[in-house]
Amino acid sequence: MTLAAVDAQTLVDAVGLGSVYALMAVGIGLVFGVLRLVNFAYGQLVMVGAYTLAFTSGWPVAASIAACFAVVVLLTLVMERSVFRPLRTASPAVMLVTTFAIAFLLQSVARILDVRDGTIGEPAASLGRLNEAVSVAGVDVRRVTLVAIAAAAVTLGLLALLLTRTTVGLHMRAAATDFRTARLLGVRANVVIGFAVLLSGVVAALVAVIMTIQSPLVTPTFALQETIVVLVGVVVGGLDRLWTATLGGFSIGFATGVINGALPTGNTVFLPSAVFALVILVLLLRPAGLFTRSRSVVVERV
Amino acid sequence: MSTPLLELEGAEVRYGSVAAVRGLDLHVAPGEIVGLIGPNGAGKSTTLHAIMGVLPLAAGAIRFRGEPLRAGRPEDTARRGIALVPEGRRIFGGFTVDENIRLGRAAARGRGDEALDDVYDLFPVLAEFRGRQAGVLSGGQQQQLAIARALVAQPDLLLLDEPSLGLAPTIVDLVFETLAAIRERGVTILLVEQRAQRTVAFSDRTYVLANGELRLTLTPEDVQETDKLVAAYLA
Repeated sequence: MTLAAVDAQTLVDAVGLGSVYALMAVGIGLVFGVLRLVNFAYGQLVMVGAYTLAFTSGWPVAASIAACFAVVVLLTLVMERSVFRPLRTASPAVMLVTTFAIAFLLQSVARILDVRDGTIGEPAASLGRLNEAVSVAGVDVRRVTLVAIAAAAVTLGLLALLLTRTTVGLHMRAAATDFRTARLLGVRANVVIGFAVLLSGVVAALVAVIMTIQSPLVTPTFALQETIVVLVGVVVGGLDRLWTATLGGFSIGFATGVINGALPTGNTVFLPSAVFALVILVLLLRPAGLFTRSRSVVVERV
Repeated sequence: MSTPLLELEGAEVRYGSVAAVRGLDLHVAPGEIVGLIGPNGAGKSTTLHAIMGVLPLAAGAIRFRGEPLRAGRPEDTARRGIALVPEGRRIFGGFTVDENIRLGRAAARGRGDEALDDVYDLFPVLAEFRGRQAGVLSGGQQQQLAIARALVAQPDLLLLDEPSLGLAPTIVDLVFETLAAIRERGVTILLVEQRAQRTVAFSDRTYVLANGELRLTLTPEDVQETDKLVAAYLA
């Protein structure tokens, strides 16, 4: 393999990883926008989706994926109704700690269900075909990487249309900007919050499908590491706005992919150190976020 | 007198142990323009927030068309036909003028294309800048936008919280001209202001509030004496 091919390979994989992280960042950013809640349990939604795929791997692929979406979206809505809604007026610290608790609860339940067969880890065998490599212009690309990039592009495009072209999108943006004024204008809090949470659930299910294709052995800590990295990414990008958070998620995924490709084989153990050194550097240079404007638009005018 | 559109009866609002508004009786009849003036901290904004349901009542009642208004869900109050032009305008600076106005439709049913055309007729400057970011408008234009955003919901009652605050005198004239145009359309208005004399001249009736209590009711006939009367009662 030539050096140029290695570089192209690395870039494609980095874009693929960035795409998955961008999707997770959108899911986290949507909920943060309307609730000012950092949902630490987001990775566990992905994990539950992955287990659904594993437990239904005897089914036709389409049915298995449909089950994944149904279970994750239902769980998201239950979470909203039973936890997020009652805690809406609680302090951010209480909400964050609560999502930690949900994360550990879901992990424990997953462990109990998983060890029934005496081993930890369930294979999602039926999705393996999508993990095969195809050759595109001399570069070996796993099909799932292309799926991830396409899925992220389509999802982000649709979301942008929804937010800018529809009434519910306008209401969601208003709620994310100034919830109190939005409500005074008649924007229904429960509707925009419910809708944002629903969308974040759909995205979590999509991420679950992509990640399960990439690594078909599902364990209770599935997507945990990725969630932490994405949370760092959205803070680095700027959590105030959805697109900066998304770009932050993409960037940390892309950087991880590039550093992973650049590190000599056998030295990938240094990957997290290198990524987080970069994160610290960014936060030192731009503490408000990598993509936030240095000065916000002046609203108060005389 | 016909049934009041809005009626406050013995309304009391507390911030902790402090009563910001006490035993407030106030009514607004359909088609009426009612002023509410008083010094800073008199409880004017608190009264509007209680009407919208942002703040709960510690005692008393607020009725709209004879039905009690409940606190906790301002969006429901808005949807029942009460629109607020909030203090400080609270426009969405990063949104376009048109998006701000369409946001005002949140309290109303349907697309309301006619209502949109109507407010653009009333505010030609907003029609001109409809695609622009609201944050770059001048203060006076932003105030017009805040009023347009409230009107587009076609409310039965319009609440205004110090619409002339922080505006240059000529712009204040513009705001009152706008309110006069709205009055012509038969919209019922409860106007909270610091500019006593102008408010008394403009309104059918003006309540004077101090320390959370109603002190005095003035009519346009009192306009020459406004400052003297208010000073005497607040002394």
